[in-house]
Amino acid sequence: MVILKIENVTYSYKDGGYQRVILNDLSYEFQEGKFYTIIGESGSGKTTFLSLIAGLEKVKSGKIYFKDKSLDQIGYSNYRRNDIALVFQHYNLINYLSAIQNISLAMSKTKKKIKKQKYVGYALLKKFGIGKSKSDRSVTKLSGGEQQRVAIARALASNVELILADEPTGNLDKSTEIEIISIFKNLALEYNKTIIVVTHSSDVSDQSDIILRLVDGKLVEMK
Amino acid sequence: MGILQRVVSSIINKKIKYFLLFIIFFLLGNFLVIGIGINDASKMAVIKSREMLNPIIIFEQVDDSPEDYGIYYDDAIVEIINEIVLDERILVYNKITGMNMVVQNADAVDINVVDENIKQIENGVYISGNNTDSMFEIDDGSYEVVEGRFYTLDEIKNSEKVVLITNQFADLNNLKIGDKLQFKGDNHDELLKYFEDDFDPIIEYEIIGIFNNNQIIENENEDYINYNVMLAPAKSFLDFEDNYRNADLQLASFIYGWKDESSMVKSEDMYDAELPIIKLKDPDDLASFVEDYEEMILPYYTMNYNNELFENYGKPLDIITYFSNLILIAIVVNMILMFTAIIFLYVKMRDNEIGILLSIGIKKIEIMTQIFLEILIIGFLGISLALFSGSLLGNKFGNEIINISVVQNNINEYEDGDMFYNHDKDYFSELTQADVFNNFDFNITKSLAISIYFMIFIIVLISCVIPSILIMIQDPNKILNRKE
Repeated sequence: MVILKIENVTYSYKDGGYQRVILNDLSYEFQEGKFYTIIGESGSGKTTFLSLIAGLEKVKSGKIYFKDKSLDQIGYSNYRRNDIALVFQHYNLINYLSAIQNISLAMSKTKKKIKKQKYVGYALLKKFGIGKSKSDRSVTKLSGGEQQRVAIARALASNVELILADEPTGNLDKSTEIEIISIFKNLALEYNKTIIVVTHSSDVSDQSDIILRLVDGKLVEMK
Repeated sequence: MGILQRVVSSIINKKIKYFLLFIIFFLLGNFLVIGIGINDASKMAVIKSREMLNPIIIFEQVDDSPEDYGIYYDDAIVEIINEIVLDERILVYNKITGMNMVVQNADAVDINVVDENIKQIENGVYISGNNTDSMFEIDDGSYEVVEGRFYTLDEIKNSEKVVLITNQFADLNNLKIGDKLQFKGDNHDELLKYFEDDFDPIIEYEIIGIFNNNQIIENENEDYINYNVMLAPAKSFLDFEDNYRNADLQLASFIYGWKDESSMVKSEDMYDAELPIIKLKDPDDLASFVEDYEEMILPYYTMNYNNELFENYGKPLDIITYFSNLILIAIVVNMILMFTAIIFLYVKMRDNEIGILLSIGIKKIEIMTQIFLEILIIGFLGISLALFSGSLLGNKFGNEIINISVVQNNINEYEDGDMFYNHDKDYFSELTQADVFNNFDFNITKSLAISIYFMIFIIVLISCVIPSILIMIQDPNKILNRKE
């Protein structure tokens, strides 16, 4: 079942006097419950593409549909709040909140009502190897790997179907990277989540169900 | 997770930044508290002094009035006076007329009479009449009705013969409510000699009230008439008075051979043209009240409300109020500008956090509210401390200002406090500049503290406007990609 449909999306910007095309009439359909990775050269537009499908930036040409509804129809803020979750290379946690508070914040913002938020939050964090004492600590006092696990737990906490990640293992060592990749794999497999990860790492892409390469503004399936 | 929890966590996390903000709020808050406190103390001193002065208005005949005689019968003036006394700003007014009479079926009180000459006629009493259901003396407690009641508007309208007597008079004669008193004019016996049985007007009143004349208690040796004053509706004895005036006129014609064909002006008409002495409910209404009516009564009368005296004594307070207003405006403007800049910088420094919050779908209005609440809490904490220190500083500072003003103004001090007093009775209370300045009391009251908190709320709100625009135009994609 198609969860995210990209239809004839073109994205360009002015670069010193001439128009630079990043995405060129790009169309693609992402299926539910799959783990996708997007690879490509630096500057090929991977992050731009992720920003567009995350609703962080509006599409100027073409359409993006989430479950048959265009993002314009859903509303970009609503889409970000209710339908997707983002994981970043730099974790992007609210640094003055504890791990559990970061999770609770994400839960409280989604329209899907989650009962016993704190209990669910602790359980989620525990699943990702963050015990109660660490859960109550400020996120700045956690290691990079722990912070990224909190970020993934936050993504999962809002109970969305689509998780987007931009270089989620970029700041992590090899063993933590493997750990994070296995978490993503399990999310797709066990929870039927759709995972789209932008990465440079072949270790990550090798573990995904589908590898997409961004070439000349288009997505090409490699696997 | 609620917004308040986020607000508290954010403040705790940014301890140093918010402590600096707290210090700024505290320092500027002191100026605000002092400014508002002095401003309020000056205004209150003006109000209290006005109250001390009694919000009294007295009509005074203009010295070069176009008509010295005859204006009493001007219907237009009577009409204006009748209109003036209906004004809702009036608390009470006295439009007193009176008549010396002799009580027939009782004895006048003659205790504590120092000078026997005062008591010229045996059983002489004084009937004082007003045409409202109260009078100054009732309002200020000089006359205190201890039994029965005061006369009503209906009784005034119907000129009913009802009277209130002093408790000394009642005790002496063993009188009670409902008893009747008979009076004749104080020249009755003299007139009777000439008119014999043709002249014998007697008036009878029913006692409806007994009052304590507290003025007597304060001044034991005051004049005899104070014990024997009686209160009745003004118009209840004017016809009776006319009988005596007519008889007097006839007697004069008989003795001196006058042949005056003109008709005598009736006492009631003269009374209608009498000018009231007015006491307002609110001293603040004095100037506007006078402004509303003075034009109408010129060129015959002016209205004196002791303003010249008050303005002279109150001038330093006006200057203090004026400058404290200026300082207050400067402080508020500076606070707004300073906090706008500070909040703007805070928002700029927190753009990554704003980007993250936006990326997880938090609405911009909620982010603005969070920052507003954080600043407001710090502002309230800062101003709370400033309320204490500002009160102490303001007290000292305010007294210094007053001391300087007293020294500078003593040159203009009026030596004679009675300079602007008017009429036989001192309706205007005494006032000195020391009284005015003693009323200057720097005190941060609960209501003033609430208004200071409200002012901080407004300052923070206004200061958040420009930073809010910055949040409104924030693009989460740009913020997050900048970091990436």
